[in-house]
Amino acid sequence: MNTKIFVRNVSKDFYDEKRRTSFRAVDNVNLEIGEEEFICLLGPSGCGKSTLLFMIAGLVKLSSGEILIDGKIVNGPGPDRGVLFQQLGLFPWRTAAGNIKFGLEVMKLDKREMEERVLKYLRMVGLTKFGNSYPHELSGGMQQRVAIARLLAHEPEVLLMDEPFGALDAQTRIVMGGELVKIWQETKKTIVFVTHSVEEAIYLGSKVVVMTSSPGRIKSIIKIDLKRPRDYVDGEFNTIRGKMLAMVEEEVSKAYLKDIGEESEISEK
Amino acid sequence: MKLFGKIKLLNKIIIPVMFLFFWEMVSHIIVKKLVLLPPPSKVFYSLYEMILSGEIFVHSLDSILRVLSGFIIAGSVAIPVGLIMGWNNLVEKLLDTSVNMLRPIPATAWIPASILLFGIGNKPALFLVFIGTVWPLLLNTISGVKSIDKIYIMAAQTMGVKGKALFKKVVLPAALPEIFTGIRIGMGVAWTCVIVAELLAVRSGLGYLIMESRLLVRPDKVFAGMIMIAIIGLGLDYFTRVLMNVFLHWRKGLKVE
Repeated sequence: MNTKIFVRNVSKDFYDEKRRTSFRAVDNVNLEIGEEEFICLLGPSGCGKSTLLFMIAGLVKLSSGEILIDGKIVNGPGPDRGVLFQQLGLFPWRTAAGNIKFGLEVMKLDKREMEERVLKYLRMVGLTKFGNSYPHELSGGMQQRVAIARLLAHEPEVLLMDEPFGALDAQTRIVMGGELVKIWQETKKTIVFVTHSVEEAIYLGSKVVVMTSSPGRIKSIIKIDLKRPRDYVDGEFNTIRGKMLAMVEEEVSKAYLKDIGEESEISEK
Repeated sequence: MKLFGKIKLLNKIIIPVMFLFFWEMVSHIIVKKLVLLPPPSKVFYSLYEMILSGEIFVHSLDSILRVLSGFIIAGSVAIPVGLIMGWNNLVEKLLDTSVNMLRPIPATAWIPASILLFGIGNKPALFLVFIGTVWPLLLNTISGVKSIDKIYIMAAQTMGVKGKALFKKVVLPAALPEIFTGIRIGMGVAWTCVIVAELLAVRSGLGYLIMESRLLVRPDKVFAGMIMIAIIGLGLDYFTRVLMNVFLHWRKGLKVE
């Protein structure tokens, strides 16, 4: 398997202007992601997993280290890496079809080709009837699917997803997860998916990267060999879930104890 | 239901009708000899006469054309400059002091200067409309750009959209609601400015009509002209609201009443 994304010694410090201190969000992360892999970045909130994702996207600058895509150093965002944001970022002034068309307009496709592409992805997410609807006229799940269609339409090789299903209700979330796996199997993209849900990570990922609480480091990488479609109530699924939950809980309580410690430090002062 | 409709209409017009009646009485009985207050009947009659002769339309058209052209000139300066100032911190800092020094000068304070600079005619009127509208347009455009949700910019960048295309496809439409707030405020100011300019520096238009009628001691025409000014003022605001509903139809549940 060829390496698609290579994260080498990457750290990120944020400067806190109020306290005049810097704060380490991601600490010396090394990660190799192969072509067509579905990687889930799992960790407690605030562990720097989204920061790592945005650094791969080129939207956040690294403090040190480097990230390579196909051997080329990442230097800013580009259409080779599509991003699905937690807040989606659909353009409210464009229809569903208009949103999907957005990235295609700068690709110099001819008009017919563009229309066909839009229709193809509207069909893929099952929204052919809603091409002319504006985002606010669609339900949360439908907006999500428009965002996925928009993400896929300019055909990036890498898909970076930042807790995209976080705002959905549990049922829709499961359905969307299933659809995403199908799309992944059809399109053979490399996917990096950030989540704090253990179940979601195991259901989706071909590998789960568990991160430590802040500063974010890699705690362990677990390969998931369950055959697809996966079953949330399967015995093996639960065994993995048990192990992984223990790991995440350990990190959550560490983070909690650290916060408590800081609180008491402040109150002692 | 129909009854309710009628009651609502009655509520709306009862005060104005009483007012007109009162005005009519006052001008006939009490102050007829003291001041030049024409009764509404006479005012509406002279409005009717000016409609028949076409005089009122000639002046209205002049005023409207001045407002719209002054507005377009102001918009074509203020909106692009505002977009750039909102986007680029350096440009904003460079222009900020000048804007803040010029902005407190009320448009009306520019009248003597504009007559000195441009003489009598269309030019000082256009200049005044420009000065009056450029600030609300500029400031609303700047704040429109500054308050754009960064997620739109990031999303566009990850789809390979940057530079000019980013400006046209994201920055402009995202700032449009606030730009339209500026347009709506500006339109009201522009109408005031054009009438003021016509009172003093132009020889046509509704402002000129009412000033000239005063000199000719035709109070009926003064008030008739004022009624027309009110009607067109309302019309201009209605026109901006129509434009808003056309350009901002994508906004959730928004209809500007």
